[in-house]
Amino acid sequence: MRILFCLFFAFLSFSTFAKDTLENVMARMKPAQAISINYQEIRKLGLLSETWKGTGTFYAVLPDVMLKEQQSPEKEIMGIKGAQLYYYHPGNDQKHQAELEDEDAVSFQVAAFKGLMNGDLAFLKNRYSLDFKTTNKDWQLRLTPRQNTDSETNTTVIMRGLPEQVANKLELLLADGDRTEYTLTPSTQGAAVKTKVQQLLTLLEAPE
Amino acid sequence: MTHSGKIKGVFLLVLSALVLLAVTTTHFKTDISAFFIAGDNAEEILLASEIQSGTLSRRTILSIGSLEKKPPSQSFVKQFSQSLKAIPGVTDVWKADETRDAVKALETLHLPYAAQLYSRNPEAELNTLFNPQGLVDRAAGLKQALLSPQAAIVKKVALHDPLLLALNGFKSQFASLQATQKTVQPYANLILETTYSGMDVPEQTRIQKEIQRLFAEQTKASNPDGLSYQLEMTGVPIFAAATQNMIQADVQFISTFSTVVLAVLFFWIFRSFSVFFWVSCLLVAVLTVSVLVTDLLFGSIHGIAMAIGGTLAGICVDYPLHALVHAQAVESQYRAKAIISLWPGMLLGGVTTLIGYLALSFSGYPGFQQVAVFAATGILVALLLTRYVLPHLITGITKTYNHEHFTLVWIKFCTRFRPALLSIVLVLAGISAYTLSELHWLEDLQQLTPELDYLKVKDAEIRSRMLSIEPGRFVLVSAGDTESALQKAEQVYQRLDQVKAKGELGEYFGLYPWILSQQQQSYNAQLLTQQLTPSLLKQWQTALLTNGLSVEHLGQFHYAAKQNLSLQQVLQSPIGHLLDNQIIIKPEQTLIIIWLTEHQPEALQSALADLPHVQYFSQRDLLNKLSVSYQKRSQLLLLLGLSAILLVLFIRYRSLWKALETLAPALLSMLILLGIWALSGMPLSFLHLVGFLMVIAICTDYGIFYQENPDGNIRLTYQSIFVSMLTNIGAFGCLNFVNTSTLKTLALCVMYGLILGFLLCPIMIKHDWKQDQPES
Repeated sequence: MRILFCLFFAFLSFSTFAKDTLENVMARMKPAQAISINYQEIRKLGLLSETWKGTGTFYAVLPDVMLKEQQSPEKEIMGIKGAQLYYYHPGNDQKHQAELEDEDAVSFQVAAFKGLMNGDLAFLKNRYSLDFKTTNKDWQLRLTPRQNTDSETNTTVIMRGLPEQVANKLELLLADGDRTEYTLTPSTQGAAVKTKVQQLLTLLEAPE
Repeated sequence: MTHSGKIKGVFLLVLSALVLLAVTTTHFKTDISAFFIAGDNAEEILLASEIQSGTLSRRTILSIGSLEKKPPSQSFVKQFSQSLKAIPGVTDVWKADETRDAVKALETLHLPYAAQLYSRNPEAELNTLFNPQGLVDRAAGLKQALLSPQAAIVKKVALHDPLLLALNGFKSQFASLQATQKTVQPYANLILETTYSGMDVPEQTRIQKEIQRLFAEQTKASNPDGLSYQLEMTGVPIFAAATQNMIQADVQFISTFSTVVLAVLFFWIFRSFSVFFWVSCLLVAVLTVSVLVTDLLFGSIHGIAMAIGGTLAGICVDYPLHALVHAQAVESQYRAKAIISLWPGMLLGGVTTLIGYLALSFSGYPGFQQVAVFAATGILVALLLTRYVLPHLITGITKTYNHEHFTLVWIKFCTRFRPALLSIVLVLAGISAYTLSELHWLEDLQQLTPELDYLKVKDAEIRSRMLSIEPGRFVLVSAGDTESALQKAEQVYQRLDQVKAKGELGEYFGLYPWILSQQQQSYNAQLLTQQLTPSLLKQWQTALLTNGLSVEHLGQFHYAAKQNLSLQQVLQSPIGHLLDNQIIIKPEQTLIIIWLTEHQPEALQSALADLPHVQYFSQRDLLNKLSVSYQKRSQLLLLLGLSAILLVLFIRYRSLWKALETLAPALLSMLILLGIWALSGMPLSFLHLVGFLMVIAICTDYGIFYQENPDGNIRLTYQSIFVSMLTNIGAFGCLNFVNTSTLKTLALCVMYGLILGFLLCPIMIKHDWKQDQPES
């Protein structure tokens, strides 16, 4: 009997995670309002002798503002607003601003994130081949660039999440083996995030 | 057919052939700068030619914005720039703030030459870097760069050049660009380069129309953001097209309007359309031969030379008009004789006019040499046609002579009150001479074309959306060959760094980091190789370890000595087009242009003063300096011309008094006119000089005719002067209705001068009534 119950609940839970399709994962990913997500970052780069670790917060105000505020090991802010890329390193007092070019590595990754955050499946399918998998433990979406010969932009993006949950892992794999992994924890939403984003943008846009 | 009938037939036939020849073979130019710009030294001449036909002249700036003041989408700009590249005659289109090409150049071209190009000041650079702390700092910087958004490019550089030497120059270049770039603007600016010179107006107009068409098509077809896009353009091709269109419209207007005005005048004066027809034919013959001769001698004729030369028609028409008035007063069998009796006076008038125009040709304005040839030919042809052809063209005209012409009233009034009138004129002349010191010259040539102000405003607006480089002011370095020019430029960079450090210069953009002289490259490589010792390598590896960087991948130096990077390699690479507005290479000379942002001109001038063949250069100042030097020369030549005219008159009359008396109406009308100008506070330009010259030339003719009074009938002579004055005023009066303010200025000057000259003849030249022959 007990086994039967177990089997029954197992079936129920299977039917629950079976609901995770690419479409509804994408719909779930799209925030209804301004959102912030805390992250832990791990980078394994060929030119570094040891793994690099960082922490911070991502902010997104759709459709076209995304910010990454790194808190450790040192403060650093990177932001995208429309086609503009901003970078600020308070420690070195370094500030850059540039227009994103379609072909460069950063804008290639930014375009992927924007596509994911905005749930723009058509755009993503145009640039990447999408491989969506579910298991009883999680779902995984793998974006592999289509016909890309340029190693700079040949970045595979992997997102993972628990069943019926938003993504909690983000992985970037470069053609040369360099790898970046983010562990994501949703933080706050709404007006407070919007205010914070505005503060950060003001800081980034202010002349040196 | 009568003898005169045959001559008329032959004349019309030859005239038709000449017109056909002129229309089919003449090469016209409309480039306004070619008319005015030449330059006093080799650098300026080369630069002037670049302004006229070089790369800079072939570029149009296209600024795409939107009514909503939002930046246009990248895809829209990209698609538009792709379609622009397909226009025949367009060589390239790129974004004004393009840095991608520069990054690509760094990767593909400059990376292997890191040892050669790492610094303009290698000792200081290596001293800072090659010590334990310097190396640790560099390794920390490398790590930060590898974790930054620029990681992709840094990774590529670091594998070949772990010390990131290749990035040194580029870092400062990008920092300078960053500092001078405007904050985010709602515009995308494109540079479009054509194979055709900016002054090739027909081709540039075609390209501009095609740009507008493509833009309209694309905004209609795809508008991803729903914005209302707008396109604005500026650059030499835009100015050239606008100027030519304006001049063309004016020329069409003048040719139609003045023909009607002259036809009405002729009918009113001579009561005959055939007179108008034949005089017009003579004028067409004069202008056609002048065009052909000028084209033959110069290979082309400039539109402005033709316009100024065309006003010569006003002088040339005087000869047939004098002849006509005198000939029409007698029966047809005496007309040839009447015209022959005028010949010495006409010839003298022709010679004095010629002297004036020849003087003008030495003023320095390249276009005025054409004007002088045009005028000399015209005067000669007009004289010969009046003397040998005109008598046969007017055989059928009925005799008309107005005994009581109203001009007689003025002659009699002047005779009666001559002392009083003379006193008034002399007082006026005295006042005018006194006010001459108040005269001032136009200091800025741009003020000559206020009707193009809307383009200048647009130009300033569009340029302000781009880098804050001052487009017309820069440092000019020149040398006999490219290597020497690069070496000299490197000396200049050091001086500019000092000025920058004092805060008197924002930024400057030279040829570094793209290229250094071969001498500097070899020195850099040699110095680096000497200092790359095994112990230094060990220190570097320690620094890498300290910062958690891979010794395996970054722990070796690969700065083996190799050949230097050549300028040719750079110019042939994709970034070549970024540099061709900075270097001009000719077989005998190389010019390097160093662009500047906001700066203090005096500080730069004094910092560069002791460097030979280096000058702080302002395009506008050059034009205005040239203008001033032309004006000074023109004044001197005008005075020399006047002296020569006086000498010719003295030779003719054997009396200095009589020569002065003959010249007086012309001289005084000019003097009084100058006085009025001085009192009005309006500035004088070279165009006024042309106007004064024409006033002197025509009024001297009036004086000669009045003085010579060839057939002993002063009423008839003055009547003929009146007729010529009236037709001239009619022709010049038309210029008052055109758009080009320069032509209006010329018209105003000449009209008032001629009226004054005409009125002054009976006052200044004493007439002996006893010598007047009884009227026939």
